[in-house]
Amino acid sequence: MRTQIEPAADSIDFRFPAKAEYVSVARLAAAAVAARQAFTYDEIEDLKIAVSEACNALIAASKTLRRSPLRLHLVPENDALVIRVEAPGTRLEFNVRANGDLRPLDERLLGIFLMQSLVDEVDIRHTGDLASIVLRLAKRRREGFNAGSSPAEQD
Amino acid sequence: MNTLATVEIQRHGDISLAQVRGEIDTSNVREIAAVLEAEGPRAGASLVVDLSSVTYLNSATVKLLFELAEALRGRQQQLRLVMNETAPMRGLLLMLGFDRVVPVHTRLEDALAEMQAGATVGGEGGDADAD
Repeated sequence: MRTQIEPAADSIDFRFPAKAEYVSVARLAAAAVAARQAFTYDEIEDLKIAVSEACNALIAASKTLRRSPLRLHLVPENDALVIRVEAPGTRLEFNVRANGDLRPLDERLLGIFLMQSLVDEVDIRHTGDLASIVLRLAKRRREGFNAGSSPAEQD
Repeated sequence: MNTLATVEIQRHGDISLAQVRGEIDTSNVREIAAVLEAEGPRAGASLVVDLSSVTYLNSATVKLLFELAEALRGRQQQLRLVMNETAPMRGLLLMLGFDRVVPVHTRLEDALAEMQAGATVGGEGGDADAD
């Protein structure tokens, strides 16, 4: 008997310290899941940057508060990967939509610009005292695509 | 410096070449900036930063590069960047107009050759499309 596995059942959640040195863990986890979904090498590289920027934005925003661990949720969908990074006790004040004119250079705006440039959707949410950044990377349709041949699988 | 990245400095006459390898992120960007900024004053006329072997960089690195360019320009020193065609963030750096501030080369030999030839900084000496 064949069991149908729903994509949502494959979601991955974990917590990690809200410190810059652990952001690499988050981006590598996201890259590993994306590779299993057969995203391309370039898409995975873009995703790694976007995930890091989301984590860094939340870490920076929580600097003046007691830093709780960040939570990372990776939810593979049929044609997309949704990544939600959450920080309890944090408030993100992103009222500005970043554009290409970033001088004088503001690292926060640059981070937003990168996220918006690299993934399909970026959503910043607040629920109670929980701030979260949700990234959605959609899979592109490719002619003759072979799900087993993603170069990132070899990393 | 943490184990994510290394910086190796070589001298080519008046030119200092900084070859960065590995991943640059928020956890190590300040250490890398300190190495590059310390090298700036020693570099008689110029500094070439080779990012061809960098496998990951983020917004903190972009900020570092803009600040380094500004600091060197204040000392009448030149900066050139080497990023090969497939380097992460190359497209975004160009989109941000970084090549209007600092020449960006795809090949190290070209950056060194133009530096040695005394090419000017500011968009005339080298650019992403010139290589």
